[in-house]
Amino acid sequence: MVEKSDNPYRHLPAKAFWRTGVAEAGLFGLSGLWSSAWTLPADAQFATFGSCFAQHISRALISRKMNWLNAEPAPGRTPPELAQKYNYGVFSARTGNIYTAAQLLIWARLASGAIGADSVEYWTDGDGLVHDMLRPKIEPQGFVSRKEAEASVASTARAFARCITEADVLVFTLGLTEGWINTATGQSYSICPGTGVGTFDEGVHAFHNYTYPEILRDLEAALQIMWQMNPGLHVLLTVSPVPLVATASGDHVLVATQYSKSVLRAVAGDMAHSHAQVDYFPSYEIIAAPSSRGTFFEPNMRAIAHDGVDLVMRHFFAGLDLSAPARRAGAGGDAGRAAVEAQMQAEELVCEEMLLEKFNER
Amino acid sequence: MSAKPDLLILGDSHAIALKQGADLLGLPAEELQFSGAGWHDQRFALGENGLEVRGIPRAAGQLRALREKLGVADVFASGIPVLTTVGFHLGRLVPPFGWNGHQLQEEDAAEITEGLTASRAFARDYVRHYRRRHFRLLRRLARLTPLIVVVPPRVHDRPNYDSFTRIIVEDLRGVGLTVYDPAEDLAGADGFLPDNLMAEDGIHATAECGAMMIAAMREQGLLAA
Repeated sequence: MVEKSDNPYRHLPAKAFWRTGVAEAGLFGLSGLWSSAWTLPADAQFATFGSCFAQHISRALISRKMNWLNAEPAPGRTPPELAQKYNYGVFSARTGNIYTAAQLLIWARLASGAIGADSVEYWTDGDGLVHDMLRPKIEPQGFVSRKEAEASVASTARAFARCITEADVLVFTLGLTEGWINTATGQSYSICPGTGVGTFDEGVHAFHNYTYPEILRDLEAALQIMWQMNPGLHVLLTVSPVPLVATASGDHVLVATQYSKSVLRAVAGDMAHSHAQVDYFPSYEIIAAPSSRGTFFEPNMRAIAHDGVDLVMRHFFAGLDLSAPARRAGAGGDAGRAAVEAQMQAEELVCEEMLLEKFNER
Repeated sequence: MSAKPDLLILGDSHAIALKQGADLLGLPAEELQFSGAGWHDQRFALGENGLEVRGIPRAAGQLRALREKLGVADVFASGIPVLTTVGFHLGRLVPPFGWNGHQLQEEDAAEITEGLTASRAFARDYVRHYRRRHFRLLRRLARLTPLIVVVPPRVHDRPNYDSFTRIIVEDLRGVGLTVYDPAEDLAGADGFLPDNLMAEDGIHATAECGAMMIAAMREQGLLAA
């Protein structure tokens, strides 16, 4: 019961007020931005997927020698440059960037066996090499045959399933609302056909800016599939602070970016509020909110500087609660070690979306 | 200096059967042989005198003795035909590739439904990473003397061995090297080397098999009769 002379704001902590929480704290004095909703075991396994920014989380977990689950490592003794060339060790399975909730739903359905690798759209280039439109740049040249391409998608789906069933926390970074779909088959593309892989057909390929209800629906459906496979799976959602390379919405790219991020942020927040097993980590706010004054954007005002990533991850690790007893003895093993070594060598982020910039002829 | 041999045999443990086969056929042959591990670890170099062996004293001594015996500095540039098993050494190359459960999906094989797959393009790059220097050595030798690369016998169907063999053979033939694959002449109906041509270790060919390979190469005109 609030007394007449009292009010709820009198009892709020300093972080609840902008002046004390942000303005006076300063960029590097921000605290209490995130506190894990879960007490996890000391050896909790993390799987990471999503847009380009999710790759930073993979690397940070590895550099902290935490249990980053690499369910699809490169073959043993793969030299680091080769692993990088073929996109091994970027995410916990070789999914490539998963930009939209619609694509996450496809991977969840593939992992559960609800759909098979044959349901994915494949495109054969002029050299006869085959590309799967779910991971258009996963192979630098393409697959030698449809059979090999399907085998690879199935392999990644099995690895993705392992991530669902073995991870304690699946970290998913939402990246885009804008996407392209095949109006005939319903296939969701990770990049617009014709921008790198595939042939654009305006009669079939349609731009789609996923709305809040659609994203919520797809994310909910994907997580329900995952929870059927592993009821104990925790899902940590983040939103990529990286602006769009380009928009096909008709809006200015700045406006389109803010719209996209706002929708994703709202979906992530609502999912976290409505599910005890979903939490939201504010990487987007740390980088993109006024408190950072754009400090962490590189001169192109899009790429995120290393210091920004460091700050994000400091908040991440500060809020993580790994105080429950470890369950596994000697986690790791040869496969894990080999993958970690390969991953540590990786230098360049892999981001198919960057392909769009080459179509900016101005 | 002694009379020139008819054949030089260069390679790993699979070269032993070729040397023994030459002996069975009464063909004068000399050999430089050291382990597949040594070849895989690139214990060789190309120097002023051609092939040099690094860090394997027994093989280096064997090469020195061969130079003295033939009276030439660059043994493998003396015009004597060379049979070689260099470039494969699958026992060192293939198992690590499968450590994390990777297999290659071949067109003529059943669909892989467990574990992980890697693409043929990846495997080719992987092979080239580990065999680049071997292929360079073979190309150099082939410019100087008749050279036949002999494929190790197919003795088991462990994962990825056939795929890697195929990739290496394609690469060798792709750069114009002459390759002899005993599977084309000597394999049984099941595609494997028959038991009676296989050494007790189940990996290598017998002396008789080595002789049959050399005979086949001569019949096919790969090697002067």
